[in-house]
Amino acid sequence: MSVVTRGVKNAFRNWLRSLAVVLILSIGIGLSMSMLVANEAVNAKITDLKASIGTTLTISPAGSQGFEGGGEPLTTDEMTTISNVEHVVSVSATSSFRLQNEDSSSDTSSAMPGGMGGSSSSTSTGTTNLVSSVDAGTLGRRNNGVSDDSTATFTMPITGTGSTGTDSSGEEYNITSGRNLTSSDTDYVAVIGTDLAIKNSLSVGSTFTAYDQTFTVVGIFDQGTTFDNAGVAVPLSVAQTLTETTGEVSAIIATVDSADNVESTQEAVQTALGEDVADVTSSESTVATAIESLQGVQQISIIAFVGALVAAAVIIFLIMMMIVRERRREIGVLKAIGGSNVTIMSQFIVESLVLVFMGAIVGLGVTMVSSNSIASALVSSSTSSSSSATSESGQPGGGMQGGGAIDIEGGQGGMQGSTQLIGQVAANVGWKTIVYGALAAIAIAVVGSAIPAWIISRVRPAVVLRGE
Amino acid sequence: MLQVDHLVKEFRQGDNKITPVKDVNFQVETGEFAAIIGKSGSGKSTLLALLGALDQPTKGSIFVDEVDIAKLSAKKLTAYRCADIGFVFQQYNLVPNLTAIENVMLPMEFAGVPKAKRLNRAKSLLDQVGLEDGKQLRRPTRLSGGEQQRVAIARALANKPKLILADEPTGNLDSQTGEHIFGLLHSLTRSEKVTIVAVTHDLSIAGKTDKTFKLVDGILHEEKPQKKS
Ligand SMILES: Nc1ncnc2c1ncn2[C@@H]1O[C@H](COP(=O)(O)OP(=O)(O)OP(=O)(O)O)[C@@H](O)[C@H]1O
Ligand SMILES: [Mg+2]
Repeated sequence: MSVVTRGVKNAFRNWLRSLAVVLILSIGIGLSMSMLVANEAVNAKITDLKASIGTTLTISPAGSQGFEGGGEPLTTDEMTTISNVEHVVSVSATSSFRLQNEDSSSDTSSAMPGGMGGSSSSTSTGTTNLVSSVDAGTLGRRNNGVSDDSTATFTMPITGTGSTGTDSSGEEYNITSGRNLTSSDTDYVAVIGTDLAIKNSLSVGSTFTAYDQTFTVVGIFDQGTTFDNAGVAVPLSVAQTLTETTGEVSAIIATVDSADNVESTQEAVQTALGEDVADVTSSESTVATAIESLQGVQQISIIAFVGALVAAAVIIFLIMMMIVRERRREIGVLKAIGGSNVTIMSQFIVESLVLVFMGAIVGLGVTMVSSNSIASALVSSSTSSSSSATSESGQPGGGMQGGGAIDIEGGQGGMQGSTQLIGQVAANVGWKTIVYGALAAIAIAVVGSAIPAWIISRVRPAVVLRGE
Repeated sequence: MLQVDHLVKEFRQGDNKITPVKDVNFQVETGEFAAIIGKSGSGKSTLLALLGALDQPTKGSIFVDEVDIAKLSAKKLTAYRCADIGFVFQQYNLVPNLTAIENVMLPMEFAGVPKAKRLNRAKSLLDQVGLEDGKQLRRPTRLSGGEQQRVAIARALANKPKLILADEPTGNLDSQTGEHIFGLLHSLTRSEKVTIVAVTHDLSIAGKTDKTFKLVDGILHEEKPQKKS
């Protein structure tokens, strides 16, 4: 028999009450641990998102945003200006064009501009023997101004990018076979999306025609979306020559040295180019909305964590008060036969620790079962409003094809509503949580037993000489 | 030796002031058995609490072998209760979820006696007070009142105290069992050379002690047995 064994033994003295206490505590502790897990998951997601803001700026012709098109094209001179701005580490540019299948119905090309305002006037269209891997569908036909009955042979145009190895959003092509384009490529070579390759049975080394030239496929890429994978990219200089826009680019992507400098550099580039020449954007605004709502979730989870912990502490406090009152006489006896305050208090603290730890163990089970759904419930409920608002700015489906490359840019940005950005919040119970949970349990037990322990020290041993 | 000088204990309850112990002076030699009698509410338990350092006197001194326990610090008082005092209560006051033998081992644990030694001594004490082997591992609820009081006496003797204080140790027992318990206490005084101060209502017991005191109006008077009846 020692203080510890007595404390443990006492915890089971009234097993029915202990069971009830353990169950209630397990809910409190389980909830608080779930909140901790949710908080960690959300935290990780925020870090992810911050990283995904990336360090890129998109520079597009002034006034060209949206489906109205327009504006003066950007030139390679502007690239030099941008590369001289502080914190800009690299600049890459793309131009855009599109390819229409030569067998497609003849009225399509004249009908297209009607579909999407004047935007296509700034985008050169060439003929090709390739067939788009995107099914036109009703939206595609409607947006391209093709009436349903006259479109037996209508196919969607193929998005072409003049590139030095990056796509129009500045991302390096993810090459699955062959090689990527480089800035030194000047021949009629191309990298094509996987979907387009499959649709046309092309592989590295195959050829196709565009703008009446024969291109050799040097690489196949997979950018992850049906839209991107239906595209084709040729060397920037080749594209500029074919589309007779030498020196012009449709989008410039500047990479900034660190995410922290994105905002200031965005302003600096804008000032360097002038408001009337270019619009400088970063993906920050979309992500900021997502981060904001996640931070809301984080706050909720912290509040709930603290709340559940306090509730657990209150429960153990009340129970310990009850136990101490009940055993007042016994405490007096222990003192009368030579037990010191410290010994007796320790015994009771061990008792409450046992109760709290059992609660924590059951609570851990509760956490494992519930944390994932709690985390995603919290995230989805608090972000649904903002994500629906964001995704409205994006145009779904093939309709995007109708606009120029700049519209595609906007469309893609919009498509990545905060829901997709947040994606799956992966909550899992790690060692960190268990350690935190254990510490929290000890804290609860100590806080909850502090006042009862003080009462123990105040029990006068003379009570044992009084009647019940 | 126990010597008490001008002991006073007051209780204040608002404006009311009760003084159950007004001016108590007495002396008990080592190895003597002293009884304290008195009417209900006369302050016997209060006096015993003072002797056992369960309560602080308002005034006066209590010398136990030359040490005035009325002047000891709280920490020293705990040590005093642990090492020098053994209590026997009317309600037995055993710890309910510990077995008989564990109850006897408890004061030794507080005194820091090694476990093996505790077990041995507890066992021999329980044998001494006459609790059969089979009952030594029982919890108090499965023991009769007399058996519980035997365990309580064994517990009181655990740390070889100088002084045993008993508050109506036979009060809850029938007269025959009471006599046994009293006989047990009496023989232990002799064998363990321990001083006993027992509060009792039982005059037949009071008559067999070395000294008998009567508490009247907060003052303790020694009763001369030969003057009786
Ligand atoms: N803690 C206390 N606060 C106030 N008054 C008290 C306290 N303890 C005892 N008293 C009072 O002191 C008086 C003496 O009580 P005490 O218990 O010592 O009597 P007693 O002689 O042991 O009586 P009994 O034979 O019935 O046990 C009583 O009037 C009681 O109400
Ligand atoms: Mg009394």
